[in-house]
Amino acid sequence: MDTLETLKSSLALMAPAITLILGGSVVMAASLVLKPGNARDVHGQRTGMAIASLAILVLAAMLELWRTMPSELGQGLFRFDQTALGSERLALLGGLILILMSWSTAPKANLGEYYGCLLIIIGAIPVVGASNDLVSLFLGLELISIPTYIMLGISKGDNAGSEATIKYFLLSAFASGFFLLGISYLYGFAGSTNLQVIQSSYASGGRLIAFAVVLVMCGLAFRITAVPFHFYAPDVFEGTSLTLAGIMSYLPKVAGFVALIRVLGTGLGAEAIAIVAPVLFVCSALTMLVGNFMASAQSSLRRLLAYSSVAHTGYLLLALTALLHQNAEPNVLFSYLAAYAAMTLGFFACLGEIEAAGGKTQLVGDLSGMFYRRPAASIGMTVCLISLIGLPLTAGFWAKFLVFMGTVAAGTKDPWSIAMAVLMAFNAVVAAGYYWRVLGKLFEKSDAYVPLRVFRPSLFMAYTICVVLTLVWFFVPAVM
Amino acid sequence: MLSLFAWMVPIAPLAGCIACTILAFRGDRKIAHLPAIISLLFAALFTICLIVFGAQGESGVVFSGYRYLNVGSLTLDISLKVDTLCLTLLAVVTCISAMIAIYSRDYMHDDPGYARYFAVFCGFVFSMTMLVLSNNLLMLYAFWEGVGTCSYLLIGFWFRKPSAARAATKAFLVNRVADCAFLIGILLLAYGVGHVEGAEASFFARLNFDNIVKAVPFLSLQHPELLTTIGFMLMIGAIGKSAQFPFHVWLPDAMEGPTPVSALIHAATMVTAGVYLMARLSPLLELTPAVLSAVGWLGGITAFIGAWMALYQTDLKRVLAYSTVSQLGYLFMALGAGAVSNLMTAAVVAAMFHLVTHAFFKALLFLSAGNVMHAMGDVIDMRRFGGLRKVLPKTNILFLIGAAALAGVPLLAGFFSKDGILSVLAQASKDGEFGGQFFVLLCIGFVTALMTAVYTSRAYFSTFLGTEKLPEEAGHHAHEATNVMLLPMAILAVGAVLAGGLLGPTGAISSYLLQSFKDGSHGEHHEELWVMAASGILALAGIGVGYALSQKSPSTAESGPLVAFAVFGRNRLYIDWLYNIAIVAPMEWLADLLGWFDENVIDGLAMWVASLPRLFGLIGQRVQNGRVPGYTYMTAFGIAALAVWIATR
Repeated sequence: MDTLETLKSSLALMAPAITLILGGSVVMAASLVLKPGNARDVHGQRTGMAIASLAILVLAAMLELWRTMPSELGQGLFRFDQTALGSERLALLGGLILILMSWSTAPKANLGEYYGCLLIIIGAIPVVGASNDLVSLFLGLELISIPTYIMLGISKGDNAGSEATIKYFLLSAFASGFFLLGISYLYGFAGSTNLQVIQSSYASGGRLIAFAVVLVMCGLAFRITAVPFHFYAPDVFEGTSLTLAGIMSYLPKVAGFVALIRVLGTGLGAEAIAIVAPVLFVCSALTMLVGNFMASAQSSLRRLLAYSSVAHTGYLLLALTALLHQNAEPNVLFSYLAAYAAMTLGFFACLGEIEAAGGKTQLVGDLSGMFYRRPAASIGMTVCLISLIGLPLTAGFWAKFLVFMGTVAAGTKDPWSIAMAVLMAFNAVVAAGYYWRVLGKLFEKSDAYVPLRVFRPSLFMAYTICVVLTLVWFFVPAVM
Repeated sequence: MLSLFAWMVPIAPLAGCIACTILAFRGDRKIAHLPAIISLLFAALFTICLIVFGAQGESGVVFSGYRYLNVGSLTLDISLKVDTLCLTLLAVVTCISAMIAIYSRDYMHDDPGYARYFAVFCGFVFSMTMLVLSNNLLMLYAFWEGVGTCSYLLIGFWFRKPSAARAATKAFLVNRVADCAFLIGILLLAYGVGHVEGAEASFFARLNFDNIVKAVPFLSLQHPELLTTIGFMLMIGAIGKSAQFPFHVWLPDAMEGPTPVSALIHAATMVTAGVYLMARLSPLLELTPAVLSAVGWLGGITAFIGAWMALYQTDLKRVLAYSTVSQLGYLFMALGAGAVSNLMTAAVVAAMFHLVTHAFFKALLFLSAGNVMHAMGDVIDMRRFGGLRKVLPKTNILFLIGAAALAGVPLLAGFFSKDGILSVLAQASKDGEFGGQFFVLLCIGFVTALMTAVYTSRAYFSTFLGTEKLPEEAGHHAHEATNVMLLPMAILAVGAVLAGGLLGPTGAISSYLLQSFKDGSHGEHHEELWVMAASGILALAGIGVGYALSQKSPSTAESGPLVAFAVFGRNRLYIDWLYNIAIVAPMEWLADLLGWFDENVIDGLAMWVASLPRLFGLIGQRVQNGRVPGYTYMTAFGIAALAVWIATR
């Protein structure tokens, strides 16, 4: 079958992604007609746009449920295996929470562009997840990057926002360069852009293929904020709105890891693994250490969260290594990402509600005594923080536990894996220290509390969903 | 359908617990009883549905729930096991808890922790139903700890009162010591079962009750001494929870909690968990007669010393508490009779029967004591009130029914069930190997029956009869309890009167329970008429003595050899004192030492280490200078280093 035929046959299977991207384009076109009017109009526009976006998301989710999967996975541009399905579900889950978070926080003047870009990013993740070709993979990744620049640019009009946007844009372009360099090597080596062909040639390739893979990994390391590509994260998290920070901490990370799974596959030869695995280990160790050490020195809550996001990338990289050795359950990465979505986005939603009610959230100290000022959001944050620490009764416990078990199991093939598991445990302790600091602030007693009374139903719903998922997943980890 | 019923039994109180917790946080205190009572009534309803619509196979039905976890060789399947043994206790737990929740609505009415009370109450019922329904010993252990935690929270419900906080800690710690042995027993059992041929690979699945029952005959052939060790460890767990000597010290102190809690947890349900565990594992214990013999001795000692101490208490609730200890001793005596071959089933039936009737009349007695306490302004010392039959006419009748059932007045519930236990002991005393032991235990049983009647009647007569005397705290309007409180008590009273006659002599409970045991044929109920007559006479005689004692003025000192008996009884046989100097004091000294070491050495070290990440972070902040060129150079340097590393390997 030639490429066009396979593309046609996979269109129906890509229906959720297509719905999201097309829907996003339509929503974006709405900005042509929407005029920023008086306050009342803006309120109506906000609600309307959010509901329209939610409707598109629900439609995509329904299409996902109705779709019948073919018996063969596909050989062309797209391939419908567990990775594709897992990434689709993660995108829809994150999309639901993020649209609810955006409801009352989206920039008034650019509603159309904002929701359009958000939907396109959500739709691009399944494209990356289903990619079976370097071309479609790169297309999907750029479909995530470019709307992100726009969203960063419009979401906050001040200097810090512009600085964050420019920094992100420059460094992203820099990283994309490495990615392109890497995939050109892969193409040169295998003579095809098809990932299955490339992966089948891994076994024969030695150092060169490993170098190419490492270059691709470096390109993707930017998306997942791995060290040494993490520098932008704190500056961007600090400079942009809370919702955007939530988006930045989750959606690119999902895309990056899915792309890594796609490129690395499971077919790496022993020689290539021997080269790639140490790189992943070094990367993971540095990412964990830098993320956690830097976070523990922060007094700015935003920067702390940025470094916490970096640290979680380190744990996820370990899971990826375990996958490479085929010692972990295949869904370990997706479980971790799902738990991560619930706990991180839930935390951002709680902060968003506090900010919407008039509280400050820039510094850790701003949360002092928040439990007495805003109990519901504080309980939400408490659950999310416990999950971030990785204590039982929350999904975060299973997420860390599964990664840890996978890494220990991989120790039979690579003794360094055991050392990495120990390092991970050590890092979890360091991380508990700074999360606990935030948790302690929430319940700090002080003399004067000004209750924050403004109520935002959409944000409340967003973090309620996250908290419920975090708790439920502990008891039913099979569906995580 | 049955599966749905079975799952709904624990889920209903769990939902109630969540609802009450939310109400507790919101501060809507006045309506917190609604979710609790409704959910508990539902649980009772589902239990009755389960009993009516079946689940009566030879070894019951297992309802699998879901696979909780599957990591490597660790597979956790959550499932419930329903058989007649479990349903018997389940019915007691759900029905009595629903009654007591209704009672609590008015009893706890003005308490600031109203919603918290009902939340923990429902949490307890959830844990208890899961404990009873567990298909797995390890899962049972998890909920065993769950009920322990709820008990801790409820004993220390008024945690600002130092005595309540101390009592809660004491109960928790004493239980922990026993539970530690229990856990060792469980782990040893899993290890042992794993060595039987054809065992499950999964550690967890080995501890499913069906697998244990399947494996123990082989285990007793291959490693009898291991099985005996396991049996002893499990026994220690059971006697800890059921407050048997030498772990009985926590139960009387547990009366610091609200009275309905004492009625539910520390009389009717949680403390019987140990008996349930023994009954559940009876196929294992049957093979370890040494353990059962020890169980019998401990039960006998506990029954006797419990009654002894109850004789000399002046606090009405403490009389009932020691009486509970003593009655639980009866249950363990009965279980001990299983040491005699072919008597295990009969022993379990007798124990379960007394468990059921005891739950009814002891809950009734505690709630009556609660009414007295309510009317007397929280005074519970029997020396300070008396002649309350005019003030509390309805409570008077209810207490009388409960006391008569406890004393073993013929034809009431306690008479039949106590007689069942004594009959089993009488049968066991005819055995060649253990006959002597059980003859002694039978004698203890008779003496204890007499003492039970004495202290029960003394408590009744001195509280409700005689000249009316009210403490100052009662104020001018000492009043009868509300109808909402009296109604559940009336239902319990009906149970206390009828449960014995309906279930015992008709053979209803024995034939029902026998469905859970494979060798059901051995468990025929041999009525021994002389036992019945003797216990009836002893009960009536005891009531006479109790009346005489209550007429004596409390200042009159006992004469002759009774002095020592009384001094020991009043001072709890000096057991608590002994524990204090022998165990608690050295432990506290050691804790002080370790505390000093922890504070000055470990903490200092930990603080020093803990400051390191922050220090590194501060150094790292110099690198994070906010300039894009810097970032790109560092990134490029990183990749170059990687490239060199790969190229040179």
